[in-house]
Amino acid sequence: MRKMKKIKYLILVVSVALVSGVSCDVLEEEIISGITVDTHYSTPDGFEDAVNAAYERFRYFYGNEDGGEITVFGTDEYTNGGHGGAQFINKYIAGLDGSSGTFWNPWQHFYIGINTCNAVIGRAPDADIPEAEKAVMVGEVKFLRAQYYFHLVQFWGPVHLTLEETIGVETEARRDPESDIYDAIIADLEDAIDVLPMKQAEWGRITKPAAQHALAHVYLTRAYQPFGEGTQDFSRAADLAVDVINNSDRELLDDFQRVYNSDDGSGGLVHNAESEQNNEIIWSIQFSSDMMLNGDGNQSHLHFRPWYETFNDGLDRALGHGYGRPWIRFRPTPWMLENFRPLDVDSRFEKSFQIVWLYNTENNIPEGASVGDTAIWITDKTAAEFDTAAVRARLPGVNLFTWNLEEIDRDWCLWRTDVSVNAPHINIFPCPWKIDDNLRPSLNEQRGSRDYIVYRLGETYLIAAEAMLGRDGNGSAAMQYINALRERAAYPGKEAQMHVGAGDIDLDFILDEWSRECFGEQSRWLDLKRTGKLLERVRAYNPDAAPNIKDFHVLRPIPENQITRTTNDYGQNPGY
Amino acid sequence: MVTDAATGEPLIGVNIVVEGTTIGTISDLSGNYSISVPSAESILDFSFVGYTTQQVPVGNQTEINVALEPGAVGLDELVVIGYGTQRRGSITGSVSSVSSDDIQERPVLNAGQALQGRAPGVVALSNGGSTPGTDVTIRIRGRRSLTATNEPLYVVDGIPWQGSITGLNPRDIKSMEVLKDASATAIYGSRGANGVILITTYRGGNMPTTVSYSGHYGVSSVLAVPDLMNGEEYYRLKEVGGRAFTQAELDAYAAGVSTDWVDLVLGNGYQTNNQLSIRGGNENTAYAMSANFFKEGGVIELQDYTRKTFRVNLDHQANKWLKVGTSTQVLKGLQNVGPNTYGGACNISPLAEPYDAEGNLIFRPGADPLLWNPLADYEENISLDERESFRVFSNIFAEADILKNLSYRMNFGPSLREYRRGVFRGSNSSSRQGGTPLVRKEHQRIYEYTFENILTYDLVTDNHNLNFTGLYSIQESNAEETFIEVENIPYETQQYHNLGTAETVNDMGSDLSEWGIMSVMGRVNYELMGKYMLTLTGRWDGSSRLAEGNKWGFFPSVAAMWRISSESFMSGQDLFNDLRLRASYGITGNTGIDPYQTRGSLSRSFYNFGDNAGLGFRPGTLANPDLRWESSATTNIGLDFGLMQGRIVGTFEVYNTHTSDLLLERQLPITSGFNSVFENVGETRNRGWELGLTTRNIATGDFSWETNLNLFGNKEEILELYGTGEDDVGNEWFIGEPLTVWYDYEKIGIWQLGEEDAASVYAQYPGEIKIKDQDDNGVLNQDDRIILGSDMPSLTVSLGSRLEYKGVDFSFMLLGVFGHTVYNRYLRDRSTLQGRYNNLNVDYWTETNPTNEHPKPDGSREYPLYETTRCYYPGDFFKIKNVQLGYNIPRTVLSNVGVKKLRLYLNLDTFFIWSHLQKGLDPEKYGGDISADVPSTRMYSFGLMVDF
Repeated sequence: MRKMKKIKYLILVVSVALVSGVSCDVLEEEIISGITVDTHYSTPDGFEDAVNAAYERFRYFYGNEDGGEITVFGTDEYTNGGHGGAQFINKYIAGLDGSSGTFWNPWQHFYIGINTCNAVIGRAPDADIPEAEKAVMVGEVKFLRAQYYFHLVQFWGPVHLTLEETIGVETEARRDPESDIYDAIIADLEDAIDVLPMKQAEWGRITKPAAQHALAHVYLTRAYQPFGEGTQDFSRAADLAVDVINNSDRELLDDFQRVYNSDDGSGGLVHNAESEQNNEIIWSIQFSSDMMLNGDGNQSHLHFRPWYETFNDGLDRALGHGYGRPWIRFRPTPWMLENFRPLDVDSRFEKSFQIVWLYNTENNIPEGASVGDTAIWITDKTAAEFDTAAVRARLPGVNLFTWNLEEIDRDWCLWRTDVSVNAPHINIFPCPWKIDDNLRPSLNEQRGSRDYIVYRLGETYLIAAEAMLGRDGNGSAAMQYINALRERAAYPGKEAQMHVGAGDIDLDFILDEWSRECFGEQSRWLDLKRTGKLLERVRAYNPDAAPNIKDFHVLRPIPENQITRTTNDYGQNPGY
Repeated sequence: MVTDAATGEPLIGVNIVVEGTTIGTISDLSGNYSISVPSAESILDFSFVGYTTQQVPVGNQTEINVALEPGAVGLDELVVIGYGTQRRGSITGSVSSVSSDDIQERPVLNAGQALQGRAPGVVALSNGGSTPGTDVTIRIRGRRSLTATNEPLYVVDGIPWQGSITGLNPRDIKSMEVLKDASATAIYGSRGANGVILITTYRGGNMPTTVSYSGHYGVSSVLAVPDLMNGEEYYRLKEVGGRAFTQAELDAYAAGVSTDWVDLVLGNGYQTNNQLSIRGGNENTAYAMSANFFKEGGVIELQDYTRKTFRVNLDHQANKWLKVGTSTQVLKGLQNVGPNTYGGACNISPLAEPYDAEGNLIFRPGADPLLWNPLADYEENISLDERESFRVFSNIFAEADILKNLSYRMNFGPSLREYRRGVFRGSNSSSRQGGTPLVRKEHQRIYEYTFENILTYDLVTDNHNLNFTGLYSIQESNAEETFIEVENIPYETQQYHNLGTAETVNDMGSDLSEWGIMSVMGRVNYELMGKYMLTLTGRWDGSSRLAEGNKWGFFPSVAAMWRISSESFMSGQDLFNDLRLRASYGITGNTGIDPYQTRGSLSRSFYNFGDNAGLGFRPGTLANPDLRWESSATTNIGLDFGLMQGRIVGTFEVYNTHTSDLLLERQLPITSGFNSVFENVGETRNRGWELGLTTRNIATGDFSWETNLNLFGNKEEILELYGTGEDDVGNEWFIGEPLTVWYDYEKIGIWQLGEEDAASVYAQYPGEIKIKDQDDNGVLNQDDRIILGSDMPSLTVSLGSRLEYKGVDFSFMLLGVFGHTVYNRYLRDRSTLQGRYNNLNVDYWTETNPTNEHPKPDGSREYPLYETTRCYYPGDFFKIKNVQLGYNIPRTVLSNVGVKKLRLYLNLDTFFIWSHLQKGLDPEKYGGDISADVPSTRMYSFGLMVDF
């Protein structure tokens, strides 16, 4: 009996000992799968990780539906197609307010990007890497921070400016004056210019020409502002742009088409490393065909594509160039297409647009037609110039359309006004080749891999021209840069017809040229706003937006989340 | 033998315990029992639910026959209270019990469904729709926390159960106790704040072997088919909305096409449950084993859920002082979530046709080329989403009597969970729509254990009854997961079993998440003269999830009870046979946040530079090194009463829970770079009352009628947020309001013709939804939104009734929930009025139909402007949850065929619904967000229970 008792106590003692032994580290929390800011950013790899992360958020603006809707819609170039839910952005009607996710998304991504940049710049002194390397990396990130702020200040005016990483909980925010924000942007870009190399080992990283182009762009934009320095800013912008044109390794390609696409070897177009890393590109947002790296991808191929697949039997959605997935968001205005005339002199219309779709399946194909025959053809001609009967006889089942305004009362005109609202015309229009994505692995894949060009030398020429026009008050100096672009755009032998004189050049002409060169590239709304032409040109050229646009629309609404989550008073832009 | 003193019928399952020991058994199906007692001085305790307990000194008797008196209250019945048991009549805290009859009566999926309507203060609401295998949500006395968990703690045979309760076979459950007030839950300290549900499974006993089978088969069908537009109506919608027609649509309209897609994808579902169990034992060893097969098929035939469980419960008296045993369940579950073709069928145009002239499926029906034919998903193995779970959940225990009054118990509860999800979307499935096949595989393994050391000391004298319980426990969890998603596999027959052959890797990852809790607890129960009871508890908990320096919390409670009916001044009356007054106060904690929240972490970023990877890390979550315990202080006052010799038995309670330092995910202005942070902020209060009433309306020999009413109300309220007395509009938290409110614009109609000028102030047009400009400043913005209601009901009523006449029984249960507001997401999703998707056949505005219901269709908007304002409905509903008719075949008939008991029943689930919603929508949805992604159903079933 005594022995038994001993055993009992032994069990008790052993249990207690066991528990105490096991339990020492029960409450210790060790993060194994994740890492924290403090431990990682000071290491060489960690610092590079932080720099890379600073780039990423531009992917949520360029090639993204929201980013497109606030820059492409509601301009002279583009109106809405038949699909999509954000047509109110184009039309400037109810719904265009602070509750719209279309504004919230870019806003939040920019500020997430800014905090990442602030962390990199603030923690750089502690990072354990060679100073020279570090300086370049910090230069890249200062460029990126400047870009995030430049986007914010252009859309929203006075916004919260912080150059420090957020460490604790921050529930207040300010509306700092635009001039302060421009000062911060300019300081960052000047620093970047000082340290960045002409060329980086990795494509897509920020270079000195990119920072110079950006600063030119910033000065040009500030020049129009009441707090800007007018002529001096124009002059600085012009000098920086000219420096990039004359002294960088960037050059205008001979063929406008090659800016966006390469030859696929059989006369077709493809986007590949050759086209995406050409010598004209200064800064492009990187996308990848490796889906692990691609995030949401470049989705612009969806947004500009018409609903070609519903017009003909025998023509279906497919892989490859020209037959992608259609989201029918952005539809050209008549003005934008007309702006390319004369089409036999300026090659940019032909090189920019897909106007023909071919039958691509035997399924239900119309009698007499075969795969490879024309199914849809959008011409610029009038009926008198284009023998529709003959074409129809030659091409069984073909759908013919024209964008010629003289035909506006006829059934085949894209812009015809006399038909019911249910007509399919809203869903068919010329589709830009510059957004096409032939590398998508799957029919419905949204995540495109085409790099998104933000800055290229062609645009540097336009900045130079606009800056000189502003500086000089006339086109005499600007002429040279405009004509360089126009010459390149001319069909062989038509160069002289493309030339313009100093007297032809005014702000409207530069905006026209800008559209011919860079239409649809998520800068139009900002270009019109910068030059003070938004209301005038939207009223003139965008029939869906014209009746509704008002003065206050030159600023975008502050997202409601920002206002309601801020503990101090964060004011809305006027009118909203 | 144990019999019913009133009827002489044998009583089955009576608890027989040698007083002051752990030696015990239960009576078998004939009421017989046998037990070995240590000595002639031993006293046998006979207790049974609904009967008065008897104590019988053994002496030198070898056969003790006992006739138990029906005593409605069951004051002496032993109730599981956590780390021990207590007589019901001595419980100081708020504990509701659900008996095995109530649990086993209805065909249910899990313990949560079995709880529905059974206990006051417990809300068990479905999560909407009828996807087979879906959990119900349980809330005990409302919610306290804004963003930390509000889930109660489940404790199965003494071990905390993490994860879905659907993984536990409800047919093994003998009883459930719901601990509600702080006194009852404080012993679970940090995890008791949301209430505790103690689940006890069947065990064997010293009794002859009994083999039982119970099973049911039911057929389910949708409550109602939604009223969607037909071809003609849909054509009109598009026409009015100005949405462009395609040629194929015009052709289909001209040909009079009108496809009823919903009808094509819905069928009848079914449910079957088969339980085979065997129980028995001898004086030293008791066992209970069961095997269960449950299968539910949805009304969408691609969805089903299968559960197989096996259980072994063993108790062995190794020697005089040592008892060992286990409760172990093995589970294998498979949920085929499948593709949800219902959504596709509701969306696709009625002008589209499913089959061509030859009867072949058209994948992309011409009249709606943007939508894939939902019937494509019915092709064999074209689209799979298989979620398989495997779990071993065990409690291994040893119990030693160290001294006469002191015993020690050790529980070791390991649990291993494996979860595997395999997703395969073939090229022709509706999710890939002709694209490349997509495959995803996920694996998760969670290992947890609970290790507990419990000391119990009992001291019983004439007037004093002292019980002390001490606990030292640790619990740890280690969860690992791995997933990979690929695209473009070379052949589809591999499904998700050869991922390496894919051309594209979309995503992959793995994760490790660990946490631990360490606890010390002590409890003293003291009973004076059988009239005054006092319970004191204290628990220290340490949690790894909280910040250094804030890891430990202390959670004390005190409770007292006065058994008024035992006082001498009550002896002269016979109205009350039981009257007890209880009061308690205590503090419980909540640490229901994910691990690692106190530490700022980095988020992966994805980028590339040309062909080189540009992966990075950006600041992802904000560190909060100050995170500490969220704590709730609860005051509870309860009155238990029995009237007219137990004909009326009830409990009335009021409580007030004050929660402070709420662990909450607070939304931040994004200008800081962070969207949210976990913080301890604010205070909330839950006040409520509960009434539980059981009446035996009729109780004669052959005929009995019993009714059970639960009635409770709860009001939750935010008292303070940041100490400034100001609301937090950004988070939609308002002082004086419940934790969640519907905060939106107020619809006041539709802009009508003639109101063009007034509408144009808001850049609107006739036909659009008219919103009240609350501040009347000509602009609609964040300042014009108001609180439209809350999703939390103010009153819940459940009424169950059972009638028995000879062998026939009839029972029903009613459920009513009132005072809340629901958001009809189904209406929103199915009436976009855009003309892109089919639409509910709603009354929409046109120039000739000036309704104020729905706006004019608008093809240019994905949703109508201010569309959500149409969707708030009063949430009140009333349901006949269940009706059942059963028949017990008379014993005399059965004894001839060797069957001890046989009961047959017909059951009808969700018999009737009254609500403000459209028919076919089930208003019962926790959180009030009625999405009806899968149609709600009712079920007719037939079942039988047989004992051999």
